[in-house]
Amino acid sequence: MGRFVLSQLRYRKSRTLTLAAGILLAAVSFTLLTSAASTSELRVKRTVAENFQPAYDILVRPSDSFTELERTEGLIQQNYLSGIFGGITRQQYRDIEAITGVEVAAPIANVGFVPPFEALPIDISPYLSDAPESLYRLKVEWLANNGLSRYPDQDAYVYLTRRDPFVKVPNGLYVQRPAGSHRSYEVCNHFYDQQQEYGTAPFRLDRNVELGCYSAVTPQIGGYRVDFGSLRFPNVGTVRAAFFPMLVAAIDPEKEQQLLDLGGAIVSGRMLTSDDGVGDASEGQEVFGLDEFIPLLASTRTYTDEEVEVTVELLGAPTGRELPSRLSRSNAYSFARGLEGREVGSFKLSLKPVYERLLDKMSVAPKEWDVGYPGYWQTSAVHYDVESEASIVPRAVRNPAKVFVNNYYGCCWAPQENRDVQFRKVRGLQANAREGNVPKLVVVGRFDPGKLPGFSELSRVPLETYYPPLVEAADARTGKLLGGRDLLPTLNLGGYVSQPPLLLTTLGGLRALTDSSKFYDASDDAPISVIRVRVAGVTGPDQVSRERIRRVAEEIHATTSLSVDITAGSSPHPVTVELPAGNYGQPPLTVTEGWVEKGVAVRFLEAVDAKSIILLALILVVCSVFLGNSTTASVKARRVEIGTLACLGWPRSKIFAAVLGEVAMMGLLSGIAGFGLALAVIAILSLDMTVLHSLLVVPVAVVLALVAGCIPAWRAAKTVPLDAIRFTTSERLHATRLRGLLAMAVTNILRRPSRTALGVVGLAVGVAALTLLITVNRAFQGVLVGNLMGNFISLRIRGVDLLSAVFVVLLGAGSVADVLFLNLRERAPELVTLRTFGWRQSHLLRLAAFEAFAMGVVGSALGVGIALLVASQIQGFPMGTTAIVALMAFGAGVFVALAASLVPMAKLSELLPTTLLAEE
Amino acid sequence: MTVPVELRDVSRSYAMGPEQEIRALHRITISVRPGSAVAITGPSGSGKSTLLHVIGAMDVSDEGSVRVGDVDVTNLKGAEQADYRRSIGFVFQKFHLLPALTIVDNVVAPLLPFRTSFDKWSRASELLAAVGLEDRADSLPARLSGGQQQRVAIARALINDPALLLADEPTGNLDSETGTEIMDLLLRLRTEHGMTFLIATHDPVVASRCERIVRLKDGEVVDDVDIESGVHYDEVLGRIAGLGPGA
Ligand SMILES: Nc1ncnc2c1ncn2[C@@H]1O[C@H](COP(=O)(O)OP(=O)(O)OP(=O)(O)O)[C@@H](O)[C@H]1O
Ligand SMILES: [Mg+2]
Repeated sequence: MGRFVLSQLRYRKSRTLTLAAGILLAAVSFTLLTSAASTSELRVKRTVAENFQPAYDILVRPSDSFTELERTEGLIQQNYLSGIFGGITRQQYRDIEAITGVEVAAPIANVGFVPPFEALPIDISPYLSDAPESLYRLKVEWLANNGLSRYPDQDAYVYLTRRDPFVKVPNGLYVQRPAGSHRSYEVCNHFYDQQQEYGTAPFRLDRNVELGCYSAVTPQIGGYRVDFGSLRFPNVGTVRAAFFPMLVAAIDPEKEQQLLDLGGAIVSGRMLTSDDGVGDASEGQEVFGLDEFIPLLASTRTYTDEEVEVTVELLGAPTGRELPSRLSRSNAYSFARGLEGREVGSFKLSLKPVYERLLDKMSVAPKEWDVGYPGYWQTSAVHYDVESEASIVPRAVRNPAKVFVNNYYGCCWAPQENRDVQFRKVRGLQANAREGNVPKLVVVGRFDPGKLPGFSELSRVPLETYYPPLVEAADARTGKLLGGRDLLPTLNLGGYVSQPPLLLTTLGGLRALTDSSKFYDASDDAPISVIRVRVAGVTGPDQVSRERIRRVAEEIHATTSLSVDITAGSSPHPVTVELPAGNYGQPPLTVTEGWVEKGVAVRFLEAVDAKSIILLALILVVCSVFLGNSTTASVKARRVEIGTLACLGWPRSKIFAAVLGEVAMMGLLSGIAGFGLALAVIAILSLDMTVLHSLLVVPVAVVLALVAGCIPAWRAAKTVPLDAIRFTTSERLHATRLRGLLAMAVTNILRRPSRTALGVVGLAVGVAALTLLITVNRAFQGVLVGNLMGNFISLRIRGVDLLSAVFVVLLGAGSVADVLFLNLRERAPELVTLRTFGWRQSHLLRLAAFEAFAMGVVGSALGVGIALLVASQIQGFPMGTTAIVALMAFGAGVFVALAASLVPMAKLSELLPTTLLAEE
Repeated sequence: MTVPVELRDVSRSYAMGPEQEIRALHRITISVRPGSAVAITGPSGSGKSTLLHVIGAMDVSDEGSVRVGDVDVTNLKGAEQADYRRSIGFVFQKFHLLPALTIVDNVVAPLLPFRTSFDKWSRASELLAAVGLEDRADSLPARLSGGQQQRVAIARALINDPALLLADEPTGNLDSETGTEIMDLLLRLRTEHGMTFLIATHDPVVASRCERIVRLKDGEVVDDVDIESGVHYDEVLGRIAGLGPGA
């Protein structure tokens, strides 16, 4: 029997090939469509606050960038940016930008904290004594957290003579020389003799303690000078370097503009442009140690809440010229340190004007300023312990002092604040001293974060980028301690509250700081920290908008594997944080931080979505139509043969098996070919699918063939021997008058109405699917979210789907061609008869073409009708576009049906009168 | 308008396997006067159908020439062949009506894709009237008896007003009474339309009604009797009977 089957297949080779092609297409589509597409579902937690609308809908972060607390509780830290220094590649950013539905993708690349500093002159002139000579000790303390934390800084000493002049001596030194005397006192030249030089301990306070020497007689000589600032009598005191660790971050100016109108917050200078990159400062005048600069936007607000408190002590020094005499010895510092002091005054200095001066200094042309940065620091996120239901406790961490050491200057710097309790791991990235060149930061414009949308407390938007997190007192005690103020960032890099980015450069400018030849351990591999995404077509917290967001979130996750949070629909979620006591006086504090609870959680699944299944069903339907039609026809055509077998004594079961076996064999062969084709398609489209999955093609093809072959085989088995001999036509014909070839063609295709109907339906299904998919693709960039007859629908069209729709159309065209083929074959004697009347070959071709055309038109029109009907039921579906696409799909359907029919039409030329007449 | 039919040394062989071939026609030379009715007889397989096919350009001879009027049938190509076929009428033993078409449409069928100077359908109706089937014009062929179907086929053969009518066993599938009626019809129409008429038949009674009888055997002409030129009907009948099928 197997031989019978095989011989049948061989006997009808071209037929077998056609059918095999159909099965093949169907089987390949099956594999493609069932390839697990990553999809997602949204879990809505609660009704969302409508007025709590972030500037962006999706927050993309590196997958390892958030704490367990966020993960388990569905929370996002208000301080979401802190602790993320890179993790997203530039390519991933470009990939996200390219995703349809992404309206704006605005990246932020945290680079690190740079330590620009500016002179802080400490002027004690109001507290000066009238004595001819006086010595003062300045006790300097940095105050943070409303003065709860006091960080003692180095003392400074000031010496003032009101009666003697200073006289310059060689080497740029000066001496106090009483008038008319040859005796001179080297008051300022030996103060450092027995002091420690700069060492590698960044926090020691007993090195290079300053002495400022002033003469009221010669104000122009003496005074206090350092390279960044000076004081001159009558201003008497010392000059401190005030460091402002500032977080540098890179942005895409155009994206920030679109997202937040950053340009609107510019208060001086200019906005960054996307052309801004690493500048070359070496043009023209060569500046030592500097050849690159980075253009920056600087925030006009520092957010560091610190003050300097200075206590002035008048030291009980010997009177007369004993004091200059003692200061001229090599043990001058020990002498001064040992003196008792009497407080004569104390005052506080604000750092605000210093910050403004700093920005002014950073705004000058690059070559006029020759200070680059010896390195920068990166800090980790804070981790928490959940102590109780009500509150969380940040976990303290220890940073070794050496992270604050910087070898570039041969020494080190770190604000004393960093000796306090720290919650963030600090990592130092040092400039490569051998390279010699560190990039300089040049402020080209200043922005006021207060002018960004939603700055005010009332309209505050969640997860903003340019404000520090809001940390308020949670109870009365803390409120009193903080004096009603919020907790703000300090100069403690590892401190609890972290700064927002204060210095913004471009992703191009960023490269100077991520250049590993300039900074040890720096890397440009994945510089971007977060990407904020605004989704097109989002109008509010409604379901449709949310679905659009979900689609994009899903796509981002699928293409980049990055962590994706949907911010839309989130709600404020105050978190109570128990801050432990600090080392510098700050008692334990209970504060509230405005975290954000995700209203919508995305869960990523690997699943086949409903739309793919529908497409798949369509393909399978069309394919079984195709197969069933031709199997039925082949059984019909072989009635005599099968009847003869029955006469010869074949039982029904054998006949059934023989016919079904034939179809199944075809299915198997096509399945094997389909497996190969599927592998090729997977390779070409680089789909994510296993070989094992593609192997599914084979059973699918066989099952499909068996299903399609069942009814015809059963019919064949029912054939009674007598039927075969007394062959009566099963056609039901209607007598209608003809008016030409077209009418004849129509009559012909109506002769087998069910066969024609099936063929036409196949085409219609394809045309309808194609119309709808292309419309969705064109009008919605591949993502349709809407309502279909009151039911919420959402689909994303993948390339695979379009491909499958094309397959359906091809299958449909194939089924039309197949109907034609079957018709022509069955009518071969009639066609020959027409030839004997004197019809030309071209007339037969025209007749066949009309038949294909008629079926193509009816099928395509039906398809277009279905498409328009479905489209009209979907709210907001663009009927205009649908109509245009439908028109094109109609044309394509007719064309493909005609084209496919060329194959059976070619068979017509084989019909010669003699073949028929020889049968007589 | 009638035409003469001239066959000169016409041969047609069919290959049967690599070496063997069947000589269906062998050096046939026949000359048919315009307007005459000629019966082609002979045993089964003697080449009657082949002869008609060659004359009707359904088949092509290997050698020799076939001329119908001024048409050199042997040298026709593609469209010329089709055009020539339309200028003659052909009636088959098995009728070969188109089952999906009504009777009148079947009659029109040869002209369906062509423009004509006359109304095809009224012409068809006239022809149907001529074969006595005017009342069945809108029936489908399956509803008609064999004889009626053959009448339709005859009407169809006449739609082009042919000068030559070829009939291959037109009565072969019919009982003798119906066969006689069909033969009456054919001969009458031949006279009315002034056609040259060639008919292949086994049936001596049918053959004897023609003016001339050409008898084939193994593809060759073995007898050629002209009844009009004085040969007695009985004699003809006898000769046919004596050398009839199987002889
Ligand atoms: N197309 C063909 N291929 C092969 N052989 C053919 C073909 N047509 C006819 N023959 C052979 O040519 C010979 C003549 O056949 P033809 O049909 O002309 O005989 P016929 O006299 O019409 O017979 P019948 O009375 O049975 O109709 C036969 O042997 C036949 O088998
Ligand atoms: Mg014959």
